[in-house]
Amino acid sequence: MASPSSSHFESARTEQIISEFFLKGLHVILESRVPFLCSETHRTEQGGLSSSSVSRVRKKDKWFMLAIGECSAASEILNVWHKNAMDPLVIDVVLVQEDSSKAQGSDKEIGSPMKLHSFSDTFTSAQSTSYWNVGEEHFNSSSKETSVKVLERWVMQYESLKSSTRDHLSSKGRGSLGFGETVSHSSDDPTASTRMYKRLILLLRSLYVTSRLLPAYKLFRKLNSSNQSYNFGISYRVSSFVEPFSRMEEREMTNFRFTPVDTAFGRLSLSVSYCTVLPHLNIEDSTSLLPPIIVDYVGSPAADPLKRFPCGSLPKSVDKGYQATSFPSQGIRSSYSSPFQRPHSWSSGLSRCGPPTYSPSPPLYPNYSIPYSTLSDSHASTSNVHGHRVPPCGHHNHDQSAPISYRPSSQKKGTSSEELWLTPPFSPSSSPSPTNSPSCNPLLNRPRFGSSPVSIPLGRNPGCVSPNNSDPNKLLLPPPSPKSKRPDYSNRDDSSRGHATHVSGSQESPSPSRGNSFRKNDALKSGETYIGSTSLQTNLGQKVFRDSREDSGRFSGLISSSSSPRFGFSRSSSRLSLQDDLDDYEFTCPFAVDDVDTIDSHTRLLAYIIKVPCARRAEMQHYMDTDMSVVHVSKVLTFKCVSKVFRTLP
Amino acid sequence: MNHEVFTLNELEVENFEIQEVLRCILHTIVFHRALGLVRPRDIDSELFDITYVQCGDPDVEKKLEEKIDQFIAWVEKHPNKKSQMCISFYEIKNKQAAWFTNKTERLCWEQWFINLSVVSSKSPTGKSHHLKPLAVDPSETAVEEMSAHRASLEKSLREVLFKIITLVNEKKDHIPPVQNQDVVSFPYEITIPSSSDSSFGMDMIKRMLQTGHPTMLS
Repeated sequence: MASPSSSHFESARTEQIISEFFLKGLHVILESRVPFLCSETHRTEQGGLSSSSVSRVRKKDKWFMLAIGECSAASEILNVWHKNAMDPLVIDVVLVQEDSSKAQGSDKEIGSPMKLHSFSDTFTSAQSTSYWNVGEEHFNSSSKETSVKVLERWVMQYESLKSSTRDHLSSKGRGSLGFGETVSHSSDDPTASTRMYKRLILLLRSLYVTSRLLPAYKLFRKLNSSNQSYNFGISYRVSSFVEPFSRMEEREMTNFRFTPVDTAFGRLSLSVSYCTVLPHLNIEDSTSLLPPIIVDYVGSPAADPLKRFPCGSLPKSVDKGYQATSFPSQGIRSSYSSPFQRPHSWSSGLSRCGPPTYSPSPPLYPNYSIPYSTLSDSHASTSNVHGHRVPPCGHHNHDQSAPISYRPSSQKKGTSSEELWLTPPFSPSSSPSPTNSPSCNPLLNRPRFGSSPVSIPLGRNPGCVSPNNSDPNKLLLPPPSPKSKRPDYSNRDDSSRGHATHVSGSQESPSPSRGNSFRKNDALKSGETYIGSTSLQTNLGQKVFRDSREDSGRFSGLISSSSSPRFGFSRSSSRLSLQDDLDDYEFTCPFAVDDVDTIDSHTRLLAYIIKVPCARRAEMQHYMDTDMSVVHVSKVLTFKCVSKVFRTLP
Repeated sequence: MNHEVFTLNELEVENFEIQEVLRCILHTIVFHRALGLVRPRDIDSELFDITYVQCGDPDVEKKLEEKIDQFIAWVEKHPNKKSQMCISFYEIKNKQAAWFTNKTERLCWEQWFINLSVVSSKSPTGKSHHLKPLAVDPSETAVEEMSAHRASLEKSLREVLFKIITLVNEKKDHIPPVQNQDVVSFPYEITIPSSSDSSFGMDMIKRMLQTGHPTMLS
């Protein structure tokens, strides 16, 4: 019989595996649906990893033995929008379509689409539990109607078994829940988690294959591979509740339910409802809705956000020697001063906070590179400074080393051979071991994704003291990463965050601020900026300010923006310069900037998640109000501030 | 050890479609049995509007291509016949050594039967594996037939792929422990009809007898 501590340990271990499954599952879905969102996976056109990255195995890839790189957007979405892993993770893949040629009544042609503006109302009530990335800015133009239709709904859910049920099952040793797979776990079964892990590997394989087989993948490929613009786009919503379909939608949907995987402590289920027949789409060029990505796009009138984004309150701050910032003081100030034009649940920036890619083509750089180069316009010089390959730095090295658990020599007596090869790459140093975890159930406070893979492998970290270390069997399966760990942004393995943190220092100058100022000036010259009090149009993405001291992920501010496809932008430099300044303010938490940006065929958005201690927010506010702007933009800036974000401000 | 046998629905294919059909099916199966570290490759079928996934191992791809080529060669020698390809997964188990036995034995734990009904090509370019005959077929009726056939086959192929996913998810308990870190975690063998028509069936029967009765037929 398992001791309480070992049971707790197994529970924590299982829950970390489940958490990682959520992350990787979301990654697989978003990567195959939302153009350019997960571009940092560094794939070739055919989906394989680029050759130079083949030899590199990152720890993140080892999870579920599926080397698909990393999607920082998925991490952020989960960290922010799915904090409680016991909640369902509902991912709606939506088709956003322009209806300019149709009467409003004809919307029924593609089901029962919601008018885009109606989302505002929806999110007012639901913004705390759902996250949309629909690029509203693209559809806000003129009189054209835009409709949204759910193409797919993926639901991942981990249901925890009640302790009484679990005890009953454990007493039976091997039992069945009557659904799903046979439960053969007990808390003291050293191979239970291995078997469960193997099943999850299979489930993820199936998810991966299925995502490529469903009809929506065609649309994704079309959008992802073409420089053309279409009058439709794919977006997504992540939420923790299942919004029922209308009858009409239900008729159009087919449900595919994967066989659930049971663990000793619960059950993971996965299902997808998808439209069997895609609505008729006009694949003709349409520059009005989703502008094409072209080299000289910056000058295109169609791309002028002011034309599509009639925000009368937007003041211009052009050519002041410096330009608007990605997380400008104006953005924050506006959050106090006026209602927001849009709810932040529209936060398109967050969704695009993934890959820092500014290229419409698949990333050209292998692992550890920041593929946001390939800009060919006049502003490219700014971003190209950072567009080159970034060598792995610091913690990256850890990723390349195979976990000790994969080595045959690490086999311990009593360990089944399978455990050698199918051991999750836990991160012992970061794990919320039962003894030090503040929460009994790590899933209730999801570990921050991305934190674990970069931690030092077990055995190399003498400072790691966890109960499992004394158990040879458990040596292979360290406990999960704690959410209370050091902010993952600083040590995530190869996220863009990490790159950005080191890019300047490693490649150009040991003093990031110098490089920044130089690039900043370049960027300032490169474009004009419009700064708004409530909505600031920008070709950057949106920024999200978050409190870093806690895991609640409360937004202290969020500024989002649309972007013009082609522009040069020095993301890391801006962030670094801000960080330098913030360092002067002695922020207790190193201004952890989570910048992950992505490009889709229609927009390029940057998202910054800035973790600022609450106590310092006022200082930061002051700083941002008075100091020079930090982020450079080339053309136009749009900042969408969300009310909820600022309600959390002190 | 459970031994699972999965029999996939028969697909009616023309000669030039065999290659793509088998690629889609075999790679989908192997991908689900590649429990080692996999770098998936999304491959767009050359004939169908289907994207399948390879496990990214050149050796696996080479082996599958070789078997597919052999199968096509066999089909060309035996036109208009139903044919079957089988992919079997094995587990290597240590056996007590004796002077007359091997030290290891190979136990089959899963077999997939892929059934194809090869029909004669309806177009003059039917022998081409890659060219779409639609472009050159002068007959409008033939074009329509070809189009209908292609759509039907694509639909059926998609169903087969979904069936594979379903089976893989439903049946997991029979999978033996992973003993190595190869991409494809288990030894596998692809069987195609041999030169004599009857031997393939006999071979299958032999194998089934050796490995026990199938526990599941679908």
